[in-house]
Amino acid sequence: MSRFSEEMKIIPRPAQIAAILAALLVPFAVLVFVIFVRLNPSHRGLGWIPFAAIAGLSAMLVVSVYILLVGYIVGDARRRGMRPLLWALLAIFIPNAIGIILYFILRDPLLQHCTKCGAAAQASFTFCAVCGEALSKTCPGCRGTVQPGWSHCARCGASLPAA
Amino acid sequence: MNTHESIRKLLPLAAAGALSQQEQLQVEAHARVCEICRRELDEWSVYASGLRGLPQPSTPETLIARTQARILREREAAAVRWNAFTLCGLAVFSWVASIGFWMLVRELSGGHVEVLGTNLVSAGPWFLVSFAVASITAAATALLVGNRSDAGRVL
Repeated sequence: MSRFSEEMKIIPRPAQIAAILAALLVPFAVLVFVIFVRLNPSHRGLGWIPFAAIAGLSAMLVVSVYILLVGYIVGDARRRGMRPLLWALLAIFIPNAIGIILYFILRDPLLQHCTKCGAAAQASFTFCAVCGEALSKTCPGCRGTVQPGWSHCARCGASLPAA
Repeated sequence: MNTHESIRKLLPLAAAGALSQQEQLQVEAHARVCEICRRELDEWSVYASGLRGLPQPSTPETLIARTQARILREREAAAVRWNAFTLCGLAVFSWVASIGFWMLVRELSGGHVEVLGTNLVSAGPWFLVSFAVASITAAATALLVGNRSDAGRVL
């Protein structure tokens, strides 16, 4: 399964339904607006059709993608232990979709789960806050997290045993 | 599949000692009464004991650590590529959305909204104001979120 389809699954069902509704309703609203508001009754030829089609499709794409992105932010913030409502509001109200870009830059790493008790923990945690189980390999000297392949601790310089 | 066929499939594993105790006993019981399986089990046992007699290759001490580090590096590189691709797409979307929103406001307002002697919905003032507002809000959010300490967060 591709990364894109995996990421799409994060979007909550209500957001998906809202995006589909927007895809159906927005072109219709644009069409109504073009015909009844913008067109001068004395110049109603067929020239308005391409304009209405392009405007309707563009509006449909922008609105649907916007809704899907806000939905994605809600789902993704939830699984990362961030605040979904706050980030959804920022994504909606910061102009020019800058809130969405900001979310992707500032989002936290994915949560990890304790192998002993299953509690959620931030990626930076070395030990489980619920049961005390080690969540990653630790330095025997300073108890800080060490990564695979390190021969020495990056914090205290202690020599690490080979895996 | 009859018992003979199902037991016959287990013979190589039985010879290698890779079956559970119950399966091993089943195979041995069948081999006692089935000439074909007994002969085949004996052949597999010769192979298995021969393989056990071969010198075992020793893995370098740091192989696991190096492999884990390599997997981690490749995963991080893939994540960086994905993030760059996402941010490029979002930057394009941001431009399309801002232009679309401007056109919508211009259409709905009839193309003229006078604020302090300037037509706010003409291209220059609109993009100046909207990007100023977006930048200020984004910077304030980044500062607030960036300064927030992770220590007190409840999961």
